[in-house]
Amino acid sequence: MDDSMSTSLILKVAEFLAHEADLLDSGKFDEWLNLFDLDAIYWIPTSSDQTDMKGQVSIILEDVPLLKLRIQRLSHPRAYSVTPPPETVHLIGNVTVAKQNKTIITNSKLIVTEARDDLENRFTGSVTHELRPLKGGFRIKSKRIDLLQSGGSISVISVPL
Amino acid sequence: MTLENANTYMCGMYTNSEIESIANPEGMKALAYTDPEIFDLEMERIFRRVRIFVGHTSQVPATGDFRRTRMGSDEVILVRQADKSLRVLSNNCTHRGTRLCAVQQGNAKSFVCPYHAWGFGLDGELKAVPDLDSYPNTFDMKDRSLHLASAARVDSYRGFVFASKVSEGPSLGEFLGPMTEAIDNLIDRAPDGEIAIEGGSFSIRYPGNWKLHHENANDIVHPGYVHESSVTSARQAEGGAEPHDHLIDRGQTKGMMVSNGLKADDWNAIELSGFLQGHSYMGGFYKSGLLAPQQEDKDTRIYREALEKSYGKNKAAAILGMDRFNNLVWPNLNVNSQFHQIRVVHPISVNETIIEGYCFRLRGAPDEIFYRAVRFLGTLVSPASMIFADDLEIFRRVQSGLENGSLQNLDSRRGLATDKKNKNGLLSTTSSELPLRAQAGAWRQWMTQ
Repeated sequence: MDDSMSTSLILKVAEFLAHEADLLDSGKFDEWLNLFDLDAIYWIPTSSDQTDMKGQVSIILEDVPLLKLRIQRLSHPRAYSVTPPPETVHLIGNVTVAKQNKTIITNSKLIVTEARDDLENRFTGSVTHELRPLKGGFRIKSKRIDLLQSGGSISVISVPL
Repeated sequence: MTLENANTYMCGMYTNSEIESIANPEGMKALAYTDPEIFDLEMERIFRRVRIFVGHTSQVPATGDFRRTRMGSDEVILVRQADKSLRVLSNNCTHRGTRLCAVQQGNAKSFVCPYHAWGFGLDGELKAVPDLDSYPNTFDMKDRSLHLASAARVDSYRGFVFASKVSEGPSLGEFLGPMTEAIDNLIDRAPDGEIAIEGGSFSIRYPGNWKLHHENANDIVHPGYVHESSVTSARQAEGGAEPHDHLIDRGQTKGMMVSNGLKADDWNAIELSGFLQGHSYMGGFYKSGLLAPQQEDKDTRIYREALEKSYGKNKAAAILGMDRFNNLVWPNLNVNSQFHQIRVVHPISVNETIIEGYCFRLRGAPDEIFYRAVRFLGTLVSPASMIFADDLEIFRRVQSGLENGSLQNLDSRRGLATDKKNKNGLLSTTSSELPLRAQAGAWRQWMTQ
């Protein structure tokens, strides 16, 4: 860790990540999307060494308009893959913080448990957020999730991670 | 009971007339989706005998290149031989049955078992056994039963490789019938006349019977209901479905979601063709104006011009205008020529299935055309697809509904009275469940032979 990194910054970042997780777990998807910059990118690649966004498939590669569409579908009464509405817990840990010019780059580990109907799904991965500091908080410039088995046989991911 | 009797007993669980009654053209019996005995028979009589799609030649171009895949519940390895031919080998060591190859793909000189280091050549022959001196002289490494079982027939139709574990049966051409045109069209779309699987793939698991996937793919009534949430959200989303350069995919995803918004009038405009081999496809989209051949942009213009240079204006227009979607090759392949995609169905157990999705790069076409195929694959077959997720949820609900056992027979009579026979099979004149009947017919034929 950078010596100059203040403990308070790390705490602020960790608090922000917990806040983001809480919005997702409480189904406040519009508020969640407001955490993103308008030109932000949300990416779940199919391998942890993937750098190519165009020539290699991604599990999700979306900008804010597409994310908006995605969360809009979640509230549709006949979005079958999310009915009855799933309950989720996003658990975050091992938060590290680095600075690159004005951008804050934070890595964290994520475990999401989704329960719906008689199903329970678990998604585990490493997350990299690029954050833009602003007065009293942050905006997400990009969020990348590297899931375990991202290139393997996985079941449906309907809830936002 | 002797072993021979045991086998007779196992396979004799269902008589042919019972199987015929299960595959009723007016609706399959529910146990076809729920009974593990039926699943075992399907593996034996369909997936070990019918031509099963096992890969594309571009996945294993050089000697020693291999790829792990499945023929039904059997794990196999597709491997390129020294003489450039292809073999499909069983992925089980003949010593203790251990899974031999654990990596998905690669290049090998031989396959060596991790357990006691029995070594097999690329052709499946047993080449090395440690401590050979301890074996009796009845143990002969040349004994074929000690070699990796090699599928009796492995044939390629223009790069699409199909295998069968039995030596008797229809030729690949007879088996594919009119489905060769879908493969031809996909290859013709490449200005250089060559295609290759690239860009990665998806493998997605659902808790349902394998037949549910192909039965759904050419069902034209379900999108209006199952995909309503994605259609509505896409229609309401800002910017509509028009391409915009500032969007991550220029609106492609949104456009794909909107295209599922078919209404009752549209259903009847779609023409479904079904064949005795179990294959089917949808047509009539362009003819009826349901889909407009895509609005031309800079990249599609460059692409069209490259095609015209290779084939001339008329043939290029015919290639791009081919009005056939979801070319289902029964039992395990779906070719979507327009979008340069295939899907492969792998039955795992009676209530578990893996769907794989791949896309192709068309040699001689601009990169942007390939990127769109990659994007199409992600939008449709990703585990996080906003479209496929709802299909898979429905498969799960069908399976759990059938497993509770209260329904004896499914119903597939939609269009039964109005389908027309032609020389190859059936053609629908209204919205129809014709593809289900074609699949049930092939199922009945192979399961009773």
